[in-house]
Amino acid sequence: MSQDDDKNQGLDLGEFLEFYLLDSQEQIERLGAGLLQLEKEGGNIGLINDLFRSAHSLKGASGTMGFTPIVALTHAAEDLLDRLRQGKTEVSLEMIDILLGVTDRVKAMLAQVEQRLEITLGYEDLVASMKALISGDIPAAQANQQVVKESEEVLADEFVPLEFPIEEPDHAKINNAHIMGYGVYQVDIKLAPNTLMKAVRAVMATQRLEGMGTVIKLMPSVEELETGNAEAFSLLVLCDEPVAEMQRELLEISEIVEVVIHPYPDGMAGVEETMKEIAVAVAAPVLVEVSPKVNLDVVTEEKAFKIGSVQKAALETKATVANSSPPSEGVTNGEGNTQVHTIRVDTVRMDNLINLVGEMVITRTRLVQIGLDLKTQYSMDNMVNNLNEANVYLGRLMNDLQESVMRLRMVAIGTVFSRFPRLVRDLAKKTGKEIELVLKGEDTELDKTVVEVIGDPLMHLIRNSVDHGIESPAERRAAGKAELGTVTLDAYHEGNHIAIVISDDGDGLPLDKIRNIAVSKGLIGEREELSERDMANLIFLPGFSTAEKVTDISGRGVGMDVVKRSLNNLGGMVDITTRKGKGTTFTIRLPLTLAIIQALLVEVGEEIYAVPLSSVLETLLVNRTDIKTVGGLPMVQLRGNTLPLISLQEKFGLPAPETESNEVFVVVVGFGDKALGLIVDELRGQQEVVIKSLGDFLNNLPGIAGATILGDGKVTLILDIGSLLQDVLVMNKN
Amino acid sequence: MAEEQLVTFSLGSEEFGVDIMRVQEIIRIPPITRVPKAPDYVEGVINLRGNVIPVVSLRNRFGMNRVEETDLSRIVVLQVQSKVFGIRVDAVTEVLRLDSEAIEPPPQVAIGMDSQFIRGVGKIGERLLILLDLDNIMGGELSHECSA
Repeated sequence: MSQDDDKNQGLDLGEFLEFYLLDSQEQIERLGAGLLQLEKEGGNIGLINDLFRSAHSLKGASGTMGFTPIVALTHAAEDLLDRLRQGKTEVSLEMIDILLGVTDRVKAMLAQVEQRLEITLGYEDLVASMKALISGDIPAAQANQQVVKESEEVLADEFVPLEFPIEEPDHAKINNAHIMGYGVYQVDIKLAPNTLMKAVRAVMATQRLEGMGTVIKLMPSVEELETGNAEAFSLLVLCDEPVAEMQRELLEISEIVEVVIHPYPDGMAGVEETMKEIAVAVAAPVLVEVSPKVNLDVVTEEKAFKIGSVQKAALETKATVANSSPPSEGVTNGEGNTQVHTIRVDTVRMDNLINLVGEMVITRTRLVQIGLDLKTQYSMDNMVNNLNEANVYLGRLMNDLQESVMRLRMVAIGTVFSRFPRLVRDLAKKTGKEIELVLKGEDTELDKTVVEVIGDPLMHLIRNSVDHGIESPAERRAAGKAELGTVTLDAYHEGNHIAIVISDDGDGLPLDKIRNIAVSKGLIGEREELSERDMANLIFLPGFSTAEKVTDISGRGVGMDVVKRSLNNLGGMVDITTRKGKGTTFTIRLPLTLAIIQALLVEVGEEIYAVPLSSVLETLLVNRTDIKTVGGLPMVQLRGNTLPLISLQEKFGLPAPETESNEVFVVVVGFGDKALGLIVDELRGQQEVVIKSLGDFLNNLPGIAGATILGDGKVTLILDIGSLLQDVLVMNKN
Repeated sequence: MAEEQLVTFSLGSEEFGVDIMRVQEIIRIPPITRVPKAPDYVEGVINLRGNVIPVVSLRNRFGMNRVEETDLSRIVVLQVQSKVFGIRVDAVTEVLRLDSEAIEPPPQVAIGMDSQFIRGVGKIGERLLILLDLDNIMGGELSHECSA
């Protein structure tokens, strides 16, 4: 069917492109995951059917959109899977490799489509290798006999004219058409099962028919087709062209498997017209078939030519043409009527909702304040008490509402995990190791913002485990372990955090070697006493790499410190435990959401600033006389170490207070071993704050990470501890 | 005849006009949070129904003296190229229609302020109305500063 799709490109399918991309990406993910399972479990018929279906839908959808390269690839893949399905060939490693190659290529092509680019990637090589695989086995000429049965069932159907909701002007048109001798037809179109974007087919069918006549009605409507599960639709058409011509046109649209055209009886001239009832059933691709109950006496001239001989010919073709027909019944019935349990919502709309809820919370705090004020003034009045009661109840509802809304943003971490089995498989093949990746806790939910950014650091750690952690099969055998190494990826909730654990059963980190390298690179002193844990954590220092040979999997010495930094940027941390000969475990702890953080509110002059609590180490009350100036920088002694200080009032150019107190508060903030004290006037306590952007105009201001709105409706700035630390380090060096 | 509809406001003795289609709303002055290290004409940020938006002091932008906030002081919230920000003015005066013919190009030497902010001068009888070019109030110079 794909060869006709070039014609569709004139059609404006822009608005369907998004649906297409979403669906195709989903299908290709499913295909990729299924292939890996296939490799593991071998020829499981249900699985192969699933794969076939994915490839088929992908092909159909791409055909409609006119992406020929994707059609070519998926078509060949579909053929190959079809062989597999019919038991004509066996699952082989080579086949899986090629098919995985196809998923990769299609993914890359979809990426091009997404960027509104032409598809420039080639497909011939993969198609050729798939063809080569196919030609190795017996050609299947007479596949899918079931289709014949299906079509015959259709023939036996009694034609009952649908009741199209026809409005007055259309009535007139129909009557006119009858008078003018135009045919009025009901065109019933059946789509291949699981067709994607049914509405598009309907639009295309309408357009094609409009070229030949007038389409009066479409049932169900395009909107219903878009959302519903119907796999067939009907059109009421006025047309002067021969029926066969209409069928030919319609069958050129991909995924349309059957077109049945009946003359539509008109209400006024009903009796006479029904006499003419001629049913023509057609099965894909172009077989014309006249129903046995044709009333030969009333055949109108344009229909005359295909009685008799055509009928016979059609019956013959039906038996042989079946290649492009839909998969057999057993395969298709599965997903036909599944109920929709999820909907896709634009994240902007969701953020908007969250914003509004935040505003409501703020407004409620004002209500509460007003209620309290009223109470002090009119303490005896019962109405005030009622108001306050209502306020309390409203507060409870608001809390629930806020929680539910925040839950909307939660996504299962499985969406991130799902890309790793493939990664591990490929890496293991490349390094000649035998590795199994065990996934646990995929249902653990965390905020969308975290899910989006956690992928890369995780990938790096997994690469590291595969490359450095797991030993080669020979080494494992020598150490008395099973040849198959295991990498486990686990996620679970831990209080307000989520923990992600990556562990391998490899040889453990070579701590002595790490220590030696750290010493030789001057990262630690030669005599420094380090615990095992501290030594393991040395690998997170910038410029550290133990791999003797630099591979393209990991190495180059830029890895682990980047991982650590990106996790720190998310407000998370990573820790290592390692045991010689037993393996290494990386534990990542991340906040559940990046949209809401715990913050310490501090007062500087008249301003209030929010310090992210994740970077607050401690708070101190320091006597001014204890603050010494070293090299132009104020410092204070803290447990034997000097702590550089920054006065927020000076740093931000705030007006100096008129009277200076003897003691000041110092908020000690830092990441890892770098610490800094912020001099503030007052501590206001800890609070959850929703992070908001300062907008395009005020982006990237030094020292400011964003803003939030406090209970009183006032905007408060959130400090960017990272950039403040950076400033001080730079000043220190100078 | 082509006509423009303008929101007019005053700064000291001068009267200014902005295209009404750019005006999202006009609000009283809420608490303004100062933003350290921001350009000095940015007075700070405010909470506009849950969104944080910057506020420009037009007096500062045009090199005029600061004045105390009065009952008439307002923030005109504008939307320019899908970005929302507020300008602080002494008072909002009226909404009026002005024939395009009554608008003259900005004078070479503007009235004590940078002519890049001025789109033209409108005449209504004896009154002179300075029409603001909003694209430069916030974006123009800021992007220049960032690139430096």
